[in-house]
Amino acid sequence: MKEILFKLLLVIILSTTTICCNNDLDLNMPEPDDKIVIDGWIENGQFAKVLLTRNSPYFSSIDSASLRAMVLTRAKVTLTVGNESEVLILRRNDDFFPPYIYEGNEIIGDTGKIYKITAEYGGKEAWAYTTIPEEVKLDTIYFKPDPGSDSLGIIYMEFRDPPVKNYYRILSKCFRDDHRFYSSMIMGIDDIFFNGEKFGLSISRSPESFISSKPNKYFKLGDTVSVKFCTIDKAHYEFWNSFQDEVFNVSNPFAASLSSIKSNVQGDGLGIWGGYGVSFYTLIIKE
Amino acid sequence: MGEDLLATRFNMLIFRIFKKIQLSILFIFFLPYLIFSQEYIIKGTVIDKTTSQILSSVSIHDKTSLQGTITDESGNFKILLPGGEHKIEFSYTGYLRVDTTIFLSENIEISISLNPLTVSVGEITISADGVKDHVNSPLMGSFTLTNKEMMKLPSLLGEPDPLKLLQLTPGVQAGSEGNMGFYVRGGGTDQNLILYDNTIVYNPGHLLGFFSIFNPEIIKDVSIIKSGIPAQYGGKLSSVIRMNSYKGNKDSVEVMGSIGLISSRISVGGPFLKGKGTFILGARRTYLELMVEPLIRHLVNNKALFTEKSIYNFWDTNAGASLKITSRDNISFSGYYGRDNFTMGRAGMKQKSSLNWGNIMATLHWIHKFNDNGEWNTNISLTKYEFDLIGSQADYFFGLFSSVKDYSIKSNISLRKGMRQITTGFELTEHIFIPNRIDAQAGSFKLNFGQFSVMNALEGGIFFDEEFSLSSKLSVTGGLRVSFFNHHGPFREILRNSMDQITDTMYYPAGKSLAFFINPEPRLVIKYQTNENTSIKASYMRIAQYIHLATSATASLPTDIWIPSTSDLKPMIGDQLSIGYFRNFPGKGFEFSTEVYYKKMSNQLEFLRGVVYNSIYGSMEDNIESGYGQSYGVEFYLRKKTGKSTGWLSYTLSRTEQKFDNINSGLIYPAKYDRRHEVSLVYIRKFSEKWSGSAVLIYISGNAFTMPLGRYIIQGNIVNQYGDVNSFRMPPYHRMDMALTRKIVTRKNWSSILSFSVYNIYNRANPYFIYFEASGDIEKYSMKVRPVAVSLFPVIPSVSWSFKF
Repeated sequence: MKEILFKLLLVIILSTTTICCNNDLDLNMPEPDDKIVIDGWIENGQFAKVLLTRNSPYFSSIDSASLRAMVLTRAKVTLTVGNESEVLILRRNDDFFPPYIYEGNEIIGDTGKIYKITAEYGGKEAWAYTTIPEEVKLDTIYFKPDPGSDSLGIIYMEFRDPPVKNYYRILSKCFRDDHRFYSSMIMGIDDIFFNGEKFGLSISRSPESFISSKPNKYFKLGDTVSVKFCTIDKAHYEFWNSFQDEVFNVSNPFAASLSSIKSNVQGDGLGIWGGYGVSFYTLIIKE
Repeated sequence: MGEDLLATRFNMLIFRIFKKIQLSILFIFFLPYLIFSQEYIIKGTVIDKTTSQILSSVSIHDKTSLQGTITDESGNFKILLPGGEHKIEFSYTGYLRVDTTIFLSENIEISISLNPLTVSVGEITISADGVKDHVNSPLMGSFTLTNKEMMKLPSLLGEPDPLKLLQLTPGVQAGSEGNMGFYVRGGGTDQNLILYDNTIVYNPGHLLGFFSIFNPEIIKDVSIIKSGIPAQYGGKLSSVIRMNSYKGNKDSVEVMGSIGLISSRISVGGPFLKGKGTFILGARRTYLELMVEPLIRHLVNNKALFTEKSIYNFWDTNAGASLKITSRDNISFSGYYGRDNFTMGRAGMKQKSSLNWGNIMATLHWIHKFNDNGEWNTNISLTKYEFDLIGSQADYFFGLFSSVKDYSIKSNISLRKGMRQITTGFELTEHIFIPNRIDAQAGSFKLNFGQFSVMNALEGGIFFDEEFSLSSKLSVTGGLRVSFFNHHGPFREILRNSMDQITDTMYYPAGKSLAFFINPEPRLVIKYQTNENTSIKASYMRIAQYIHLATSATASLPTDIWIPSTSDLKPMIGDQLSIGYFRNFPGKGFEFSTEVYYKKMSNQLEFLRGVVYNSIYGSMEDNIESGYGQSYGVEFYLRKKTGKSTGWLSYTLSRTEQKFDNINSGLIYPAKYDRRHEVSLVYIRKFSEKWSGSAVLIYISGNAFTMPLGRYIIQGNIVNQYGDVNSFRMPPYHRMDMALTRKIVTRKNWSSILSFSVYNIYNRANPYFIYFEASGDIEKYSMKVRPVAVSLFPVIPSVSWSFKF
């Protein structure tokens, strides 16, 4: 009894005294140099897609006006492969953010080729190169119910890693409510630990963004899910790997993030221009 | 071929060492003979009158000739004085000063017992012109704190902490709020040689570093040396922190303990074998489970990281014994074993992680006295630090284990010949590192990390130190340490081809050298004593450090990994110059000192990415940047050692910079622990026999950190665009703590103390870290990113009750 009272007393004392304080800070910072941010990709058998924005100073307020000001809709975006080139055309597409996307009409992604993207805006120019690596086929892909649950689960896949250097990325789209393909939680996979061997991976539902993560991370019976199992090149992998560090660790005091994302964009630019060697699967999870 | 090379290297090593030693012996031994005239020796021992424990670092001062010395670790001293009458005083913090007059016409031997101040009622207000150790001492940049002082100062949650109190002295900076990691004169947290009864402590922190692993009752005293470090110490660039443990009372059995808000402790000590030996046993445990959950919840203020259940506790045990075998031999033992256990999980996400870590230390120390002029100290010790991190989520499992284990022997002879004092000996340590043993599993597939590597290295040093006087005013303490480090087999190197496939493992058999380093490390302190109360000292030291700490964050964490120097990782070399002025104000009980220093550290390492990255990739080369650091500054220090009011005021003005080729375009930039100003005020007041109070005030300029300058959008996520490394400053850190203690004496042999402590009394919200919180939905055009400062400890009152009988 005494012990219970003592513990209760401790809990009361401690819970009233160890409340941490979170305070807003007022920091004076210089503005960054104006950069063109490329968020673009090209898949085998598909036209190129590029979202173009600019960076903004850290402390500008974000509302619809300032967000719109970040979107570049009057840039010239050129795709080049070998001697061929085309200027991409801006289209509205509400599945993306920002809802404007520069798309190709002529050049289709082809395995093994080098693609260059150039973006010009307001006297600034940014460019990047990427390749589309040979795609790797999955041996099996299936829905795996979560232990203890009869309707919720993850998607499990197995493949044989070719005995060359490979980097992977998995994107998925759940037709229940996703508008586009989203990355799996692990954004880039290096084959260093399974090179040339048979390997298995599982994915849960991808969050739309890491700002507002969905509470439910499971697929469920009745879902139709498309999966893009992609091979990517090294620079493309390094971007997503450092991007992952940034979004996961930015508020974690025990991880040394605070290092810049490794971009493959040169000139006055930031971001990523990435080629994907895609093998595509659609899974209907039967009730 | 490789063995031949090794043999050649060893031959060269031996040749070099002998050559260096010969030169120093020639120089140091013979020079003073040219100077001395007819003089006699006074030698003796100083002990505590009540407990008969030997007292080290007692100041012995001859008022007639202005010469002085201090007692060594065995409580012995020796002083050479000209014939005639001498007024000699013996003084030591917390003890009553003893004055004696001696007429010297031959060599004599005396024994002195000092009375502790606390038992001599009415003696507390003695005039305090006796404390001269910092003027007389051959050391500079040093500071000592006794257990009595420690217990009177305010503490976080009622747990007095010797290492945190050292952070209140000039040139020593706390890493971050409440953290055990600290920086001495611009050196990293891994550059402090922390010795617990002569045994290295690899991680001195419980609870992610908020509490010291040292049971305050067991620590007799703690001291730090920042410059002119004697040659018998090596291996760490920036400081030596020595903690000596209490080994029990000779006269009777005593029980000490304390009940506090987060932990309780108890220790039992006393004599055995009819007083020939003494022992002590201590244990401590937290009941922090009750508190840590709210702490973690606030610490990790990211909802995605929120934990549903966490369990945390730590415990530690101490054992010590001392036994007088013969009149000339004394053997003592001390041991420590402690663990931290932390588990957290999120049932909803099928996540579970746990982190367990702890230290084991054991030491056997043997002192043999040849005669009254010399003694032989031998120390055999074992120390081990390990942690085990396990994380799992649904199908994925990740385990990381890391440890460092040392077997050491140190043996040295101290001889006194006239006014000269020589210490020479050797130290050998066999390190066994398991930097990372990883298990990872994805579903039924085990990731192939190859066989984990065990790294063995032999570190050693031969040292020689001598203190001698060139005149009654000028004295020199000089020495040389020749250190070496041999990374040797057995070692299995995993070889990967350009495709990152494991193609082969290269095996180096036991004893085969993979990397070998040798460094001469000169040390020198010159003291010029202008009069009884004033001296000027200058020092130079070079130290080589062969083991590195791969840290992953700004705080010192249990998951920092110790790694040895290898053919890719060169040892760090530190050079430091300092000049100081030391002054006593007799009658007022004040001492004052100021020191200027410049320190350069080459081959500093920066681990560009986190520990896990380090662990996963076999070769760390592409993750490590090597560069140099420098630190310079001036320190002021005013201390009052006696009287009803005691304490100190310290101020440090300093700058710490680094230069790495691939960071900030190769330009010099501030180190993360570069802090311009640091002020601390420590005040202890004795109100009456029963009541005493204390206060601590700290102000430190904000440390440097890296901030995002801008942001941009990738796939609907907002990410940060960072500015130059460490180009921003945290707001300054300041805090005041207060404590009040009430002594309760109920019976003759039973006393207890009730301590009330308030941490951060004016509730300053010092930022522990700053993070950037994004909220809202970008696709709905409403999005907010703000910097948020997280503070750890608001005003925290605590109470603890400690007893002794």
